Amino acid sequence: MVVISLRDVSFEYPGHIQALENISIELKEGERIALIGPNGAGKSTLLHLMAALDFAKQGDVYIAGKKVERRAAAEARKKVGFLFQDPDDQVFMPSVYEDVAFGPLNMGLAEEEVRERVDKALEAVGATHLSKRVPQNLSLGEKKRVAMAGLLSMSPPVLLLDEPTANLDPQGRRDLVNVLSGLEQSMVIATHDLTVAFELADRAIVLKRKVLFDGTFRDLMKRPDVLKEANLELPSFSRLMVMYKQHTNGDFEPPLTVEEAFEVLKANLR
Amino acid sequence: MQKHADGHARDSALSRFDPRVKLVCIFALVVLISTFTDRNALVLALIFTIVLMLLSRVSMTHLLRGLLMALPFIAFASLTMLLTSGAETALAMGLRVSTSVLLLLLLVYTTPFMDLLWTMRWFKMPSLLSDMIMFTYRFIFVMLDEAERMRMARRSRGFQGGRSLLDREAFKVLSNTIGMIFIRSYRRADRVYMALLSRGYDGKVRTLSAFRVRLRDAGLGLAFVIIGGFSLSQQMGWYVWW
Repeated sequence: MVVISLRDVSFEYPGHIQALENISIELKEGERIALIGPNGAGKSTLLHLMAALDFAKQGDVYIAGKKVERRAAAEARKKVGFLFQDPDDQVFMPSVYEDVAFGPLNMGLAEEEVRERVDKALEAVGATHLSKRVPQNLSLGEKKRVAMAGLLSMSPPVLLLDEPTANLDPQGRRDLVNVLSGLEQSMVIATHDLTVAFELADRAIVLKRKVLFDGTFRDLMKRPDVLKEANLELPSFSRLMVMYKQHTNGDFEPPLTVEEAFEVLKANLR
Repeated sequence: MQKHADGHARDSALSRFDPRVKLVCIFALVVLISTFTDRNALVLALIFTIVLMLLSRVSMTHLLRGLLMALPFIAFASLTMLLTSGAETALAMGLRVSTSVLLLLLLVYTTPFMDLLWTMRWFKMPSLLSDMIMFTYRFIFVMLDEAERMRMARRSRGFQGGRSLLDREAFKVLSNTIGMIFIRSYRRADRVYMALLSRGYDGKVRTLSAFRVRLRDAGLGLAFVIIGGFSLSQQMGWYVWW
């Protein structure tokens, strides 16, 4: 089942700044897409369109089979959870607990159910100990986890994540990736961190105002032209394996994780 | 900075009381005190206030610093009374205003800001106003942090600040900084609004009911009623306590 669909969508900012051109994408139920591209590629704009926060003048956006229109946008937004790049934009209530409860309360749920959802969401992101804290005093990683909990408490079927690991330290990145890996929702993750993309997504869409590539990561790694045009750099271990493959004329699929790369090396070095 | 602003409120013994009960009791006593002219009634109310201050465990320095800010107004009002109506009236005025200010300071210093805001909403303060105050309070610390970062960035690039307000170069830099803060605030407001919409905001901020009136709140209410009653009886001459 297709959960989000864009058909020939173009978007222009005031001042004739073309952000997106003729984008056609489908997100299926259970699928995880990494939206990859350099700064200014239109990733955030695309996510805003998918979340019915902005509206395309050209083309159509469908969420759960219904065309997104301005007057019915509130209804469409219930199907989608959006994680903003800066958690300070998203965590705005005076305490963590109240912030995570914000969404379920707006859904009109009974107080008991709201509290249950909040407790579950905080537990899912490992932030139960933060529930009474003031958001302003949290670290960046903690704020991101609280922002994530605020989405999970609404139980949306689709999550749209805008640079979820940006500015996080390695441990913070690892913690958030672990949380996201355990979720069942369909996801679109905008990132220029290919390591994170490899870990979290099954499909890659490379964007630079237009769709340059749509396919698997293994196929993307065979397209240095696309990587170059999109100013993308493979993770170090991937570059190493590409060089190794060229040097040995090896016949193996490009590994997507360090563990896979290790297995390939182990097998080839025997 | 936000932690500092609410730190006293959260640590105080009086913070455990329902803020609605505190608000009603303190405002009622302030209104009552404002009608008093009898010195002994006012002294009784002041003694009660000082006892509350001691029980609340809010730092005396902190409270007196707050009172100091109101001192010019207290002094001005008392002086006016002294010149027009005599010493007794001036003393009563001074005691009235000081006691009222101390009571209100106690309310603010023993109640976290957001609890105060929710209390006023409970008393039907317009939600648009309370939402605006809430978001202002939440994000003013973010803006202050940004301003601080910009200040450090200026210093790291050699800006020393002006020698006086007439220093044109310094004035230009500072006014540009203020302009940037406004622009960033505007952009952030836009993003926050989108975040609100994405989580179902429909113009009304809903909260979980956090307050419950307990027996101890009734006890606090009773204490205020008793002191109010004693002070009033002293004022009306129904029973002279000393």
